[in-house]
Amino acid sequence: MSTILEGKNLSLNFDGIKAVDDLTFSIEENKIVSLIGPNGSGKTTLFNIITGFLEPDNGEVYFKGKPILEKPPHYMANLGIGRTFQNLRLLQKITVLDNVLLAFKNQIGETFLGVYLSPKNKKEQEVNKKKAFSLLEFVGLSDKAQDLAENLSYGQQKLLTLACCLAMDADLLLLDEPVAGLSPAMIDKMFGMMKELKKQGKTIFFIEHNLKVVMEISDKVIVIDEGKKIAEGDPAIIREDPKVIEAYLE
Amino acid sequence: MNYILHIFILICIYIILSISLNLISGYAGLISVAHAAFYGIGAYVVALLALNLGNYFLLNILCAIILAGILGAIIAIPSLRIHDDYFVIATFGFQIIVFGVMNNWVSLTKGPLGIPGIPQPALFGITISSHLQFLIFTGIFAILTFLFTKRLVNSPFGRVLKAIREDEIFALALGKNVIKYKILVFIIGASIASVAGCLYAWYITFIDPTSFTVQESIFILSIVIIGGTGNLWGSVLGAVVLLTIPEILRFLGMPNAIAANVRQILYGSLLVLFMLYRPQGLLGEFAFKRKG
Repeated sequence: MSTILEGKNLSLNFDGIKAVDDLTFSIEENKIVSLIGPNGSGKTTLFNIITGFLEPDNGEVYFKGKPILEKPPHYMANLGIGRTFQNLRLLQKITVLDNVLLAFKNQIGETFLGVYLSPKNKKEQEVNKKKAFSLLEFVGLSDKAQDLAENLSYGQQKLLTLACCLAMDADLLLLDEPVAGLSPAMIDKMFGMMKELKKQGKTIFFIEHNLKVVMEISDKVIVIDEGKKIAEGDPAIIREDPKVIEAYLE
Repeated sequence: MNYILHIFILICIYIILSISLNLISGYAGLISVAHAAFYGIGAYVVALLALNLGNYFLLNILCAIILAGILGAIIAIPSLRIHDDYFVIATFGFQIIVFGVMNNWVSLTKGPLGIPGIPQPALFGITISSHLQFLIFTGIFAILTFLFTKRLVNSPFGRVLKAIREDEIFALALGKNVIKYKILVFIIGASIASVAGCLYAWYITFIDPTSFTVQESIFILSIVIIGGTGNLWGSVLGAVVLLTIPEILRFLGMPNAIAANVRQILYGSLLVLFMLYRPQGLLGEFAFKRKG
């Protein structure tokens, strides 16, 4: 099993507060890995480092064996790292379908010359539209395709961000709290999709702060607290780890 | 009759300006107060080339587009790393510099005296000189600008622009090179504005720096805002409305000296009223296609 993402000795200080502190981790390909930890433990900060939104003070990140630090966020996205955000980033004022269409990579119609000169532009847009519909079908939103994104419920918007992430055709999906705030039925649905995506060969690295929720779905759990990794491994073992219990009871 | 044609010609020129600024400010969300600078660059390039090197229609207009594009890039590349208000201030600075150059580089631009006697363009052996010819001429350019921009904003390219305007971080996370798009759209908008400048210089046959001041930039921005950002028809309507209102004042029998001031007051109050009661402008982005 090869490693798709690797972080080595990552550190980041915010005005003297160690948000991420000498963190080393690795994610194997085609696994579902969860990152858990109490509030403020540096989970989202770590995601921001991996996706290029923040630059660490120290350390290295490797994606498929290549160092990717100091590259801009859009570069990471084009390499195949898709991400969703905790506070639901979507374009509220355009349709659900347009949100998904936006996410496709390297569209001819997104280049200036392509808009006017390329005969393939129109065809590509039609192909993308079909793909977008099948993605919306996958997340169960195909009947909402023409609605404005702002008219979706919270849970549906989370599903839509997942669809956008899939449209990017990323190999590694970083999902920031994909099930937080969802109803139990919706959580089951989301986890079902994540399992299905794993079957399709994707790797999923997701944040959750509820320990119980992640046990059933994760192949591996990484626990961090105050920016430090305190445990890593099989969910069954993690649950018994005294350090983890302590961090959560505090 | 010529008076009415004159108004229509100006409306066409301002439609080109407002559509190109709408592309930058309405679609991509980059508020710029340097549009009159690019407008002026077009006018000066065409005037100086025609008087010094020869009055070639296509070649000169191309030179104006290229120079405005390059200057657009020069201003865009450093200032697009900053955001919102800071970007407005940077474009304001550029506007002041361009005006300063036009006003003070006397050996080239004749400074405040302006450049008179700009030869009119000749197309397929026909010199465009009458008002009617100019209306057709500028009208064609306005229509071309509209169609060109419409195609751009309705394409996936336009979708990325809106994404950048609404949520830059989301656009980045989806792999869009936000900085590249911003620079590109700024260059495109600046180039189109320079075309309006060429038309203006040819039509009036006299240019001086006072036509390309920061007030002019703000006036163009007002057209975009009052017409409706993110809607090309809004820019057309905005240009029609804001250019005909002062003409109505004229028929009220107001002396010119007063009318000029009243016009400024009118524009100012219109802007305030629109911000208060109809921030999306006459035609908002979703005027024709509200869904859901």
